[in-house]
Amino acid sequence: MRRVAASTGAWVWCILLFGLGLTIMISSLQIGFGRFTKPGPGLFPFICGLILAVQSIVLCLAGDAGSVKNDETLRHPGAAPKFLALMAVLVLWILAMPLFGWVALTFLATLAIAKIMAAEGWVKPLILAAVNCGFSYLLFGYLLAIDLPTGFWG
Amino acid sequence: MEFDALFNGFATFLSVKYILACLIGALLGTVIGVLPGLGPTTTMSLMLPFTASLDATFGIIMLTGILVGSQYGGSTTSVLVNIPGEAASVVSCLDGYQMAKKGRGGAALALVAVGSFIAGTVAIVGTQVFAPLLGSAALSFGPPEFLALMVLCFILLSNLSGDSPVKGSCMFALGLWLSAIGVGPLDGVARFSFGVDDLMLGIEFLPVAVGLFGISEILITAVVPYVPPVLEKIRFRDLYPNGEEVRRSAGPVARGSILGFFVGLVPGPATVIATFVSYALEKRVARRPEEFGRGAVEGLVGPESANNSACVGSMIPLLTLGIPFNAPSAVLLAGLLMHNVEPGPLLFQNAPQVFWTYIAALYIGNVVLLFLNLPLVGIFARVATIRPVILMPVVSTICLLGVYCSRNNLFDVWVMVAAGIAGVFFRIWRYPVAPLVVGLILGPMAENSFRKTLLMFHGSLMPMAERPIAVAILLAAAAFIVVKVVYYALRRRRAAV
Amino acid sequence: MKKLWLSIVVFAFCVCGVGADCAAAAAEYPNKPITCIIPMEPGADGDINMRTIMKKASEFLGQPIMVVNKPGAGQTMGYRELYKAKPDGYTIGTCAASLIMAKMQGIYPQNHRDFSLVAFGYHALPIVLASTASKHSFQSIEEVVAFAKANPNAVSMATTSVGGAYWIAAQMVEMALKVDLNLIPQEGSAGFVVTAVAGGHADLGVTSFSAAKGQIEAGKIRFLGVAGPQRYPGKFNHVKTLKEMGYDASMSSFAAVMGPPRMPKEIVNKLSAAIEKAIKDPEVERTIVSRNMIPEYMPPEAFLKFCNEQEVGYRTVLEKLNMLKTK
Repeated sequence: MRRVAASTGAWVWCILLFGLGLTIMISSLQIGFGRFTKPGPGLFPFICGLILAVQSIVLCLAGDAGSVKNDETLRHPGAAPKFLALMAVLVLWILAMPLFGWVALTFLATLAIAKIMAAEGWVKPLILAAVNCGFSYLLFGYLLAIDLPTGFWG
Repeated sequence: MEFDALFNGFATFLSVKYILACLIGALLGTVIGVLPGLGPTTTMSLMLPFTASLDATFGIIMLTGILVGSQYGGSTTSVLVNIPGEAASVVSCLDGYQMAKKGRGGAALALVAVGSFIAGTVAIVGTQVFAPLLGSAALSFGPPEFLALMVLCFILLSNLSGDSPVKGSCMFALGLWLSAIGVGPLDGVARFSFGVDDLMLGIEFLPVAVGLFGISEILITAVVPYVPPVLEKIRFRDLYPNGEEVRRSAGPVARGSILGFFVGLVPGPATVIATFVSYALEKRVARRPEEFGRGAVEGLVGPESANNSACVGSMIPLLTLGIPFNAPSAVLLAGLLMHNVEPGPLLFQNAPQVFWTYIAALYIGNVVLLFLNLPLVGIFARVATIRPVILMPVVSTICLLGVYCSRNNLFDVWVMVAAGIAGVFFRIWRYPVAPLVVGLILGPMAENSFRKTLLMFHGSLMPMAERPIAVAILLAAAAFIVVKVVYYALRRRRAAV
Repeated sequence: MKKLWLSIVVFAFCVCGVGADCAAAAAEYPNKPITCIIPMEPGADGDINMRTIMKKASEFLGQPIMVVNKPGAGQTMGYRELYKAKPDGYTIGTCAASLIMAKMQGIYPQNHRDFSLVAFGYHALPIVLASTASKHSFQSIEEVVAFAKANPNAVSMATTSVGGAYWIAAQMVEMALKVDLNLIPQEGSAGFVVTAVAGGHADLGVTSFSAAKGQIEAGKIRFLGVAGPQRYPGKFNHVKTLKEMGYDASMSSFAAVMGPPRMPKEIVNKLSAAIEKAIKDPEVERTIVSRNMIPEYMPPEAFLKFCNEQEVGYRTVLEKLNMLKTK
């Protein structure tokens, strides 16, 4: 196995996983461990937490917690702002859906995603958004009769 | 005598009406299989009242068509846009999507279609010959056997993807824990729900899988600058597999077919188990295991064959025991009952013609699906060549809607987005996500079998040693570890020399 | 993409064919489609039967009824959704025994008295099974009692999940027989209990008749008794109820239709009448009987009385187990 010097990120992962495992173990005990003859609801999550905690220690010791050597995903120029903007679009899309309804928001969200991904001009993204929104409404809302959030439109 | 019965089954079939039923079913199945969120279960329940007003054979043929068709369609989105539409297609994302990225999407889909066809046919022959014999085998699977099976799965899974088994098992444990959130299946106690109503429902597989694979792919694609593919225009030849790919697929299809059939007999999420056991097997026997996860054709075709074969195989417990072990077969059972056909140990005595019509429906459905799917490959493969700026907004809409309509619940959509964001970080730090998803699916089964075994044996696990099937499975797990350790030891020694 | 869309359209036509006889109704209610919340996953017994009933009822109402599945947390997610809906008769829902129990168990704050009950649909009575493959292989309830009294905690009994309807039934049976059994809850559906018993992984089981019938006929399972108010009609009419044998264990899991709280009386009556006609329709009856359940229509008042009677039995069980959270 190739040994990679553990970076800061790798340590963060180890601590995160270990902490999660420990938290799971403690809260499982509170849920009720039961006895082996009458196992309680906390027994299984406790074991999950235990595996997680132990493996995260192994991960630290082995030193391969996370090599980022080849991964440049978020290092591209402008990557981080784009990433954040997309996340914001997704969150707003869902957050506002019960209020403004499915159709209007899908139109806006499709438009926003297309623009964030650097679509040129406005005509093409607008057409894309309209077609996407229309088709998805036709398919899911009308033909499959799924009750999608309609918002204040009714 | 048996062949007479089968010919009678085919004879029943050879009317325009029934072939039409099969065609409609297969087409519907393929379409809903392609759309994530709409599974065979929902579609079949929607169609049930509709088939009730038709004659029994028509209804059964159509429902079968839907079920088998959805298995074909399921892998399409996995390969093309990295979204597993159903649990059994998770493994197909690993290598299938990588193939599509290399421009071999069409080849991948064509191979899957042919592989599925072969595997399906093998399993039907198996069903036809062995169904009466193997039916009761499913009953010998009690909690201890399931527990042993889960141990085996744990060991196979940590080896599923990525380079580090430790990371794999971390993710698997995380998946198992996620599955424990919500109201427990055995005792109705709410766990880790923090008083949130929606968390009491538990975390579903679909939003997590669509998030980890699909949404994180969208996020990453959006961020990375677009590089136009070298091949602007796809030639017809490029849509279909080349000689080498076909040669490399033969073994995995054969192994996947047989493996899937037997795993299909096991009650529970058989198709999921079949896919990753097949993946682990292919990775082990492959001449170039390092290609796995980077677009190895074996890693796609093997599991997909196993999936279809397991789907057919899982019909055996339904037909011979009358007990549905998964949701789609529960609906199929309802359909059969609605037409006064009672599957069960007495099916062969009371209504053999139903069994044989069913077998004939499977055969013909499989052929129909092959001819339906091969031309579709050409159409679907072009999806992979659409520029991301157009494709990604559409795909994210489909993800969102698909996840929403699986339970009509916005909470699931939140889970999907959270999983998508987490997925980006998992991917950057090279944590494999497939074990997490599979852990989430197998979690309830692992927990239930563990607790039921403890209850059954009054708090001890030792009596498992008296149960031959459980012992055999545990020995297989041990053998896997030994082989792996020896393999590493040998390689290290060779490296040292 | 053309073919894909074409096939989607074909699919859609089939789906629309399910419930879209849109003959306009003359009376005011209903004058638009009705939504029915089924608190179970698609394909569950309660889902399939209710879809059939709703399809028929929609013919009598003259408006399509759209079924929406909202499963989860022992049906209470669906109840929650219905409780919040407008009581205008355009959102109705189905319920099961969990409606009566969930409040007592502290899972859900409402019970049957908080909703507008519309119509009772059918019974699914729990039955007591014995394995022929396990090492004990009991022939009768008397044998079980004799053996279990001598060997406490040695006989295992498979039940559905803790707190579920058939689990309560199993507790009732255990208490009525005055024995100490090793109850092994299974995850959810009745089929798992049948598997456990037929495979010999448990000596006894309490579950629904529909799931077990095939195995009983094949002789893999012995049908010892009905833990409900009446015997099953048909082939197994000779099997006695526990009450007839002198053990006081009787409950009925059921499926019924209800609406949000304070639904106008006229609408309730109109719906109830349509559902009565649907349940008494021969085709619907055949579907329900084919799934081995007992169709029975009850108007709202009788339905409420039935729920109150059932509640008493559940309360006794939960009280004895110290699981009663609210009165």
